[in-house]
Formats: sequence, structure tokens, C-alpha cells
Amino acid sequence: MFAHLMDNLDLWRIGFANTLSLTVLSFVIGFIIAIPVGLARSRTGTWMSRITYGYVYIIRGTPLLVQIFLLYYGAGQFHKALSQLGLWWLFREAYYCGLFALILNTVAYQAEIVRGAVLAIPKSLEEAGASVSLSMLQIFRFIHLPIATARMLPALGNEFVLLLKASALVSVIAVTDVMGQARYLFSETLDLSVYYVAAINYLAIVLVAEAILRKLEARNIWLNPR
Amino acid sequence: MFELIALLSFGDQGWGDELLKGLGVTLALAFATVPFALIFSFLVAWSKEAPNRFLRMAGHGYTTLFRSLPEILTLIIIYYQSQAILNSFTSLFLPGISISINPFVAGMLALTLVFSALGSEVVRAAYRAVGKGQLEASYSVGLSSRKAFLNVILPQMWRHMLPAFGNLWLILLKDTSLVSIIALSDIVRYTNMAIATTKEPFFFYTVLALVYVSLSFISGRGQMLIERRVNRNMVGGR
Repeated sequence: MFAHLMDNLDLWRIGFANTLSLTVLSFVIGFIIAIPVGLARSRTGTWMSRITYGYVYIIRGTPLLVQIFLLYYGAGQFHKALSQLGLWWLFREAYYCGLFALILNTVAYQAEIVRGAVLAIPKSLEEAGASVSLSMLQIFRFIHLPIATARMLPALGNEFVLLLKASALVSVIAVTDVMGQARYLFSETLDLSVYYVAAINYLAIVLVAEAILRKLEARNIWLNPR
Repeated sequence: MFELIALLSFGDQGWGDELLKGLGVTLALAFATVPFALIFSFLVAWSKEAPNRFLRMAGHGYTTLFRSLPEILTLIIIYYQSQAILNSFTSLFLPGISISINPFVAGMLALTLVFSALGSEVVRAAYRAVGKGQLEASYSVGLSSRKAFLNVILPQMWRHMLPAFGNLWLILLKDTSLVSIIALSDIVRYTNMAIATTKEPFFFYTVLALVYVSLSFISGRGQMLIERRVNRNMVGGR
């Protein structure tokens, strides 16, 4: 069973690096974009909130597989226009295209997490900050941010695991992540064990990620006083 | 624009009837999975609450495993592995006969495993939400533990499980798209066929996305109606 693993160690290493970089990059970039989107989403009644709600609804209502297909194959149809805009490199390379799809996808989910955390902060805290004459920026930095990040942590950790699993889907557009390498090796050797090796890879990443998350969450005990 | 719309017409020229057929398979798969997934969710939840330590460990291991593996990987492993097992069986007992695994059944099995790993947590949370007092009260009026669960606890659990199961239903509905990878002719696969002949990927994938969004919309509406009905006797709405 481990003969394949040893023979193709380089392939697995590339796959592992690709999976990890896809997940971490899309998670971090997605989070940065999700903050303004989530804030816009939490201001109910404004047109910004309606647009972001529509975005979130569409992304969450469609399978990621369809989103990836739409971006990768759909963009190929607009090859000329995209070349003129200088954006063709983004859609030509399967890795970038997969990364782009994962970012678009995770922004919708993370925006909902941001929104939930922001709505859960009582208004009185904001007023207390204003009463000691903190600026808007300081209120955000010293009151909203620490409480919101602590509140978001469990949900964000969950989203990280979901994103890791979702990243396996980019193998359908021939990105060489763990899943992609497993499918390639399976087509070469017709040996099922490569999929079990891939499974162990994913399991290991999830277990490590959850251990780190538990450590981080332990620092936020002040959130739930008993 | 009109030429594109015409591609969706029924009959030999358009792809409308094929897409509809694929949609039927997608929905059939989702609906066929639900009862098994529900039963499995209860079984796994029960094993997590069991007095036996090994049963508990098995239950938690099950959830950890299927929550960590990508759904597409679970699906592929189930599909090929069950085929391999079946092949070795047939070569042992029925030499000369080859039976191939139905991708529909493989998809159902994989989706059931994934769904029940998440669903068992929902069931557990609902069981806790009903509270111990109800169980003690039913024992005190002399109900057997079977009757106490079926007639007292279970009817109260549905209310707590509905919102989370609504979410899981949406996840299930979207995950059915993965079966197109193991050659089951669902709506995604028919869309891919349509694109292979018409060379209009953007249009067809947009239509596909719209179909899925409408399915989510209908599901959301249905969930709202059911929740309202289930909670109609509750003071304060919830």
C-alpha cells in the first residue's frame, strides 16, 4: 500500500503543498474581503445590504462544482475580451482559477459569520466607547474587533475545515492538489490505495487544524463567564 | 440571445428535456437519501450517547472521519471500493458473472454517510434541548423507555431539529452535483453533454446555477412553512 506513496513522494508533496496553499490563501484573502461584505450585509435596509445579500444567496445556493465550471469553462468563451483586459492569466491557469472560485465561495460564507458576530455586539459597548471619546476607528479596533474575532473563532474554524474539503473539488479542472494527484495516480496504476493515502492527508490536516483551533479557543474563556 | 434560449427548448434541437431528466435524477437522489440519512443520524447519535465506551468512541470517530474527508473523496472511495469488494465476491461465488455497482446506489451510500455524520450532532443537540425532565417524567408515569422515547421525546425533538436539518438538506442538494463525477446522469452531467455539443459553457452553467438557486429558494420557503406549522402551538413564535 505504501509503495505508491514512496515511489511518488514528489507528486504527493506537490499535491499537499497545493492543497494547503489553496486553502490557506483563499481563507485569508476571503476573510479580508468578507469583513466589508459582512458589515454591509449587517446594515439592513440599505442597497448595499441587498446587493451583498443577493451575492451570498446565489453563492450559497449553488454547488461549488458548478461555480468552478462556470468560472473556468465559462471564462474560456470570453478569451478575447479577457486578454484585452489583461485578466486572461487569471482564468487560463487552473490553479488561479480554482483559487478565485474558492475565494468567491468562502467570502459568502465568511461574510455571514462576520455579520453574525457584528450583530451580536451590544450597542451599549459602542456607546461606552464613544463616551470615553474614542474615535470611530478606535472603537472598531479596541471594542468591535476583539469581541468579534473571539465570537467568530469557532465558526471560522469550521469554515476552514469546510474550505479544505471544498478545495478537493478543484481537481476537476486538473489542479494538482492532493485529490488531483490521487486521481492521476489512480488513472496510472488503477490501485485504490492512492485514495486512502489522500484520505489520510486530509484527515491529518483537519486534525492538526482542530487542535490549533482548540488552543486558540481556550484563550477566549472570558467570552463565556460562568 | 434568442438562439441561446432556443437551446433550452424540448425535442431534438434543444436540451430542455435532457436537463429536466437530469433534474429528476438529482431530486430523486436527494429524496432517496433523506430517509436513510435520517435513520443513520439517529443510530450514530444513539451510539454517541450509549453507556458503552467503545460504542461512544465509534460514534465520535465516525463523525470525525466523514466530517474531515472531502465529499468527492468519500464518493469515489465508496464507488470503487464497493465495486472491488463486489468483484471479489462474485469471483468467489459466481465465477464468470460480473455485476457492476449502480452509481445511483453508490451516490446514495456516500451522501448518507456524509449527511449522517453531521446529522447525528443535530439529533444529539435536539435530544439535549428536550431535556432530562421529560424522560424522568415519562418514567414516573410508568412508560417503558421505548415508549418514552417514541411518544414523549421524539415528537418534541422535531421542532429543535428542523432548522439544522433544513441546512443539511441544502448541503445534500448541492452535494448531489458530485455524482456527475462517477458517471451518474444528473443535471450537471447533462449540462456537460450539452456544452460538449453546443460549445456554450457560460450560458449552460449559468442556467444550471439558476436551477440550483431556485431549488434552494423553494427549499427555504418549504422549510419556513414547515417550521411555522411545527411551532404553531408555541407562545412567542419560536
